[in-house]
Amino acid sequence: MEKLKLTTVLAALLVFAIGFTGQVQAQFQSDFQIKQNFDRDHADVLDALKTVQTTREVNALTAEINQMENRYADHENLLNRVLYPETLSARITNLRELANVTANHIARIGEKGDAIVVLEERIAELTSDAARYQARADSLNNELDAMRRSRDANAAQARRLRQELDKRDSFIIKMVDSIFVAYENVDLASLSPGERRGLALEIDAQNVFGYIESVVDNNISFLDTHTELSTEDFLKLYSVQVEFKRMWENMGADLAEIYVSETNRRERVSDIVEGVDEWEILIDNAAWSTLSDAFEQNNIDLAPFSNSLQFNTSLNTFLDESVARAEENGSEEEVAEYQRFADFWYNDVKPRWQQYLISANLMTYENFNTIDAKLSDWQLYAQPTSYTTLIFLGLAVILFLVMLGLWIRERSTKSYPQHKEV
Amino acid sequence: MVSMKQFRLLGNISAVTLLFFAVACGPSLTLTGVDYAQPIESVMIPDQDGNVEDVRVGVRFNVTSLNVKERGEDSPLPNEIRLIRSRDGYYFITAPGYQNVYVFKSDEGSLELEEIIEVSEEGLSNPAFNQRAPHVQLIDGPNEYRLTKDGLAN
Repeated sequence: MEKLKLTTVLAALLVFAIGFTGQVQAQFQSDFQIKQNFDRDHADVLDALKTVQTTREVNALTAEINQMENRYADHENLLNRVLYPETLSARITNLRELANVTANHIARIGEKGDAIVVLEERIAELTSDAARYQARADSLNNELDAMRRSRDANAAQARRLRQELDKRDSFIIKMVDSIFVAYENVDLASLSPGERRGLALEIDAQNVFGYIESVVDNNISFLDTHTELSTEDFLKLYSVQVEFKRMWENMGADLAEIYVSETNRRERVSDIVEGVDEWEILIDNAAWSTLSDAFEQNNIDLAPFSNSLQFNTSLNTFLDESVARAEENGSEEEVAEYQRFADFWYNDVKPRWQQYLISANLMTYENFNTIDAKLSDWQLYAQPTSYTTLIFLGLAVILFLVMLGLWIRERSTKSYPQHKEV
Repeated sequence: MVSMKQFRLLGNISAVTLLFFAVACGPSLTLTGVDYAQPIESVMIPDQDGNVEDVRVGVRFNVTSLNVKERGEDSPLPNEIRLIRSRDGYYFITAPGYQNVYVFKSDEGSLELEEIIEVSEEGLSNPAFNQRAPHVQLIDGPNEYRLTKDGLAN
């Protein structure tokens, strides 16, 4: 009994000693080390949450977050100061929220399959940004309406507003593109009617179609009422339209497949198709008209054009004729003609319009290279005759001297054996 | 005897002189009760030239001359420098292997040595500062030292 008591006392003393030592050690812990440890623990949990695959793993991480909270509770004041403007509690709360989101994500993947969940999440993520852009676009459209009624409306204001709307348009195109990438991973044929309906409802709730429609409607409305923009602006709008059409042609069929059970969905898809066509006609007319005006204002007399083939033909015919004319008779007037075209081409067309002409599929890089080559020929032949004559004269003199040198050399070679005989 | 007129003249001159000095001294304002305490020490690794920097607290200086004072000429630089600023604005600096803690006060573009506190004859093995206002705590393994700008506090 005494032995037992002695053992118990010794054990109690040992526990007390360990506890005491632990307290002393804790008392002498470096604040810097505490912060380092916290940062490491926080980063570990964060990294683990990014790669976690199962609900059980998420639960283990949630337990670890709780332990972290307890472990660092005594150092809350210190950590609040060194984590400023964050706090210990905010960091822990963020980790918990991330763990909850991850747990929900894993649960939904279990129910619906990975591809659908990724698609839904992509849509939700992008549409929250789209809503922000849409709100801004609505306010800009109001400004545009006010400008139409105002006598003070001018091109600069319209251009500024248009640039703002362009940001929204490009975003919507990127958004739909991104959704399309997610769509590619979904095997739509394998979905049950219920699942399809669920997905359609999800997309409808996020109003993806609404955003697509608004891009088309806004652009049609804008082109109907604004003709005061520059050539560059119109070409830029053209490239937006081409980009949009590409996007729509890529994913329109897939969207229709999801919406096939709803009759009004068909109508909406059909409305968008008609809208895209109308938008194309409007921007096509506006772009060719403004391009034609621009050449005319620079006194460059091209044959009339109203599509990209005619435009390229007209440009090349003009240059071919100019080169032929210059080749026949270079003159100061020809140099001035060349200079006028070259100034316009190298100062306006190439630096400001080339990228949009190419992205709107109105011209190609090869088209530009061909015209550049013809311009070089034109520049060479356009030089006045006197100058060209001098060049030919110089060449003739050089040729004569070379011939003379060869002749003298040949004569001296022939005469050499005669000297030898003497 | 000083007449009344001379007395008034003397008074006027004194007033003007006083005003002149008051203007020459410029505006004067003192903010009191400032707490400079750095909540957590800075652990800085010297580069090959002996420069150390903590961008978080915004301090940068060269420790070469400090190292010469502690260890003598041609001594290698320590692997790390530990620094903390006390509540009253003094910088406490030491490093592994050092026998002393150096207390500096900040001046215009410089740190002026205020005190050298000897803490370990054999040199500190793994020193760390903690802010325990009103003093600065230095720990090194199981050892603890409480420091003020004037030396060890006990």
